[in-house]
Amino acid sequence: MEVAARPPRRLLAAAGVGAALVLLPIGLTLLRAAEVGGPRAAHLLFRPLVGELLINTASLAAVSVVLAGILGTAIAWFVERTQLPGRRFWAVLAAVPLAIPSFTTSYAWISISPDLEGFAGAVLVVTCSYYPLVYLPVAAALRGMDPALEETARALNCGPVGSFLRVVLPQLRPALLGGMLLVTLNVLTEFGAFALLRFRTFTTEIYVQFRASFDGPAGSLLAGVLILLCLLCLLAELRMRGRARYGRIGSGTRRAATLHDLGRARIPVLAGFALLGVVTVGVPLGTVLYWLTQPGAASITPAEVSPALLTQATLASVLYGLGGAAVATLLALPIGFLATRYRGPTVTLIERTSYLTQGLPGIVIALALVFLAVHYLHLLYQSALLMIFAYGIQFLCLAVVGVRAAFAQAQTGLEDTARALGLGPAAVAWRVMLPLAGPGLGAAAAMVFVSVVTELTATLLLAPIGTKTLATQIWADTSTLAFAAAAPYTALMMIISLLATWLLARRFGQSRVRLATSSLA
Amino acid sequence: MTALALDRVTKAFGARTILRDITLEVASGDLLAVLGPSGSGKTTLLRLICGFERSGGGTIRLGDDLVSGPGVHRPPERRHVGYVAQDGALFPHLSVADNIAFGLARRERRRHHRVAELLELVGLPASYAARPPQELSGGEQQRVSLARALAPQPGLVLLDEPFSSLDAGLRVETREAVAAALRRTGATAVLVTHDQAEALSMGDRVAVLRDGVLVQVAAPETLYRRPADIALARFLGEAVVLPGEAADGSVHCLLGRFSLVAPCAPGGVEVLIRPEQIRLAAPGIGHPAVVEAVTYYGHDCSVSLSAAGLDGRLTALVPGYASPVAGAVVSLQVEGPVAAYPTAA
Repeated sequence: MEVAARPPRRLLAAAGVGAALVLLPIGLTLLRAAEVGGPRAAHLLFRPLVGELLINTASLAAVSVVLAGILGTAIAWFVERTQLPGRRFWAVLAAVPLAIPSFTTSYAWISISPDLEGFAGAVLVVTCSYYPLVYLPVAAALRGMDPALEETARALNCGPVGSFLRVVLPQLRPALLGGMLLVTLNVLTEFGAFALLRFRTFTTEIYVQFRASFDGPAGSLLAGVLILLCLLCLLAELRMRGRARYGRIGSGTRRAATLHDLGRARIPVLAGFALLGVVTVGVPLGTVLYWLTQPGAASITPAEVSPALLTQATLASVLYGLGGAAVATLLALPIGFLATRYRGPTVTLIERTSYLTQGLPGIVIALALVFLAVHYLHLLYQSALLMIFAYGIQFLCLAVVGVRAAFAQAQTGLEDTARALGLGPAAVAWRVMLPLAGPGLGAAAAMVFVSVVTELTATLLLAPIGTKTLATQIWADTSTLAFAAAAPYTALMMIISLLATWLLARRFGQSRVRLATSSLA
Repeated sequence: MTALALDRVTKAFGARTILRDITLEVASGDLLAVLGPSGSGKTTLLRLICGFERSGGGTIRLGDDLVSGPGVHRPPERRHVGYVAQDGALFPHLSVADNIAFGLARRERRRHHRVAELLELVGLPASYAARPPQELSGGEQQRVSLARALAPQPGLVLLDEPFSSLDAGLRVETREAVAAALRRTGATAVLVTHDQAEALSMGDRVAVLRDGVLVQVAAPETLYRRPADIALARFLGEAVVLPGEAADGSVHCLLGRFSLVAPCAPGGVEVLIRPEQIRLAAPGIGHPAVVEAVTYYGHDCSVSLSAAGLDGRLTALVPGYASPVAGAVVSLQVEGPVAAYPTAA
């Protein structure tokens, strides 16, 4: 692609707005953590509580990352490389958990048995919800791998296991490690699922501190530590992605991979996939269905749901979703355009900055915005506008990825051709860019919409008093153990999320949806 | 000794038959070129020998071992064959040396056993050992791929169109290096290709595959001069085919009476003359013809002629320095014996 040397200043400024909005909560959080001061910070940080949070988070991350890594790789291999009966179906089913908000999975399990509170439940929920973050990239890597490599290894006296370990696995490494880092990042930033399981991590503790003292130094410090951990993870992930992809060498035509015959192992493997489907998709959906049929009084805490309340919450969720999608897409437009049409350090910096939001915990963004509003922009405090901007920042990465892909589809050569055919810039935008990039832009907005509808943390902290959304209603009912009352909201949220994801997948194929769902968490 | 023997090997994908009753032998130390247009089943044949695909019938023997037959399918890793894929398939995560040593036992791998020797064999400098494969040219990758296949000293090396993704200059050079390396190690090899020149120049024998059926297996010269049928003759190179009459070990056609490369039953025949057998002489000492067009290649040129008493055109291949001009009147002479095929009744 022809890349012009220097982007116009106005475009740079417009793109800079998004980047600045991303840096704002990060800077503010770190600044406030630093303000606490040395001795006091040491006193607040070196105490058993922080140690417990670190151990909780680290052990959960370690266990669930290993489990997700093994599960994700195994699923990918069976789906892509064996004659597993119905493998197309399993391939889709294995990705579905990403479209189920993890706090609703949490709700499902905890409503089955309160014994699942704590570490074991957290491992279960995290592994079930996030293993697709490993499965999808690994499956893509397997698809992209030249089968001749495996065959050559076989011809060089390597058995099926040997060739997997010595040839396939080394090449899956970037995808595998990248996926595992994403799982870690989600363990760090997840809030709702852990709060429901009463499993204490940084996010839940920050929330507790916020409820107790609004903007005390302890909360600021924890948020500072959390953000540093996240940035570390994100940096590692970026490096992993940047590391030389083991691309194919050469350019010959590639044949489709020969699928391994499972033979007698077919039955146990099928049983395993069925079990996976039941545990990851069946349980959340089944539990919600079960509670839907129960009267409100049946659960531990009785509560009733009125149709009016349900409509109101759905409407609010949808409206905020639309608002968040509009803001995120608008912020992403100049960044995406800049990234596809120009190159240079400034462009890279702006684009990379927008990617930071992928690893920013919603609770940290929300807290920073609350602080900002209370102290400097009081008019915005408790306003819908502030909340929509929080969404816009939180899901900017998602929007930029989508917008970028959309603009990349409209090659510059086409623009030049249109200009040569006598069209002005406005006519080019209207007659060439919009038809080509339009659907992609719509998809970007739709992905943000789904994310906002299923978002919990920022909504809890920023929703104007009296505003009820699906997420806040589920939260209120589940945290008081009114499981039956939470069911209709959960069902609606799942329907919106699954439906939107399915439509996106049908319209744009799996890769785009993977991007969508990988930032859903 | 026979290194490879196929007996009535068959393969079908679903209802589509890819290979039908392939019977073939390769003597130890020989290079067999399997030539066929795309879709003829030649790559499938190679994959059956490697063991990547399961054959649908017949037997495959490597040396004395039955590796494929009814109820027998030995996996590739236990066939002790070397395989060179179309674009080399070098492991991108390993250095050149690690690639070459890949098929060796762990202890030998550690020591980079024979790596220097094999690099030298395929004509690459020893300094290449530490390089990542991404830094090699296409031809160099193919040479490393061959070195890797030869490292475990396989009983048979199989090459799947190894030069097809290289550009013309590199192709000839790599082809020669590969042929030399195979000859020096005395390896038995099967080379699959769609390139006639490649098959004829590299193969000790050439097997031609057409629509899943083996048409002819012969030494290159025999194949070119005495192809099994006219269609094969046209596939192998340009052909001038004229009607004629065979009698008493010679054949008569428009251009004159010629001796036969192989005996032919008397009667109506089609006579196969290669364009390079046709010489252009001054008018009067051969069959008269007019030069219609000349395609000049430098070393030689292809001349399109209309001959008296012939409806269509015929082609002669003459040295570049003797290129005629269009419109020139010449006479045609034919050198050497020709092949003849009884006309289908």
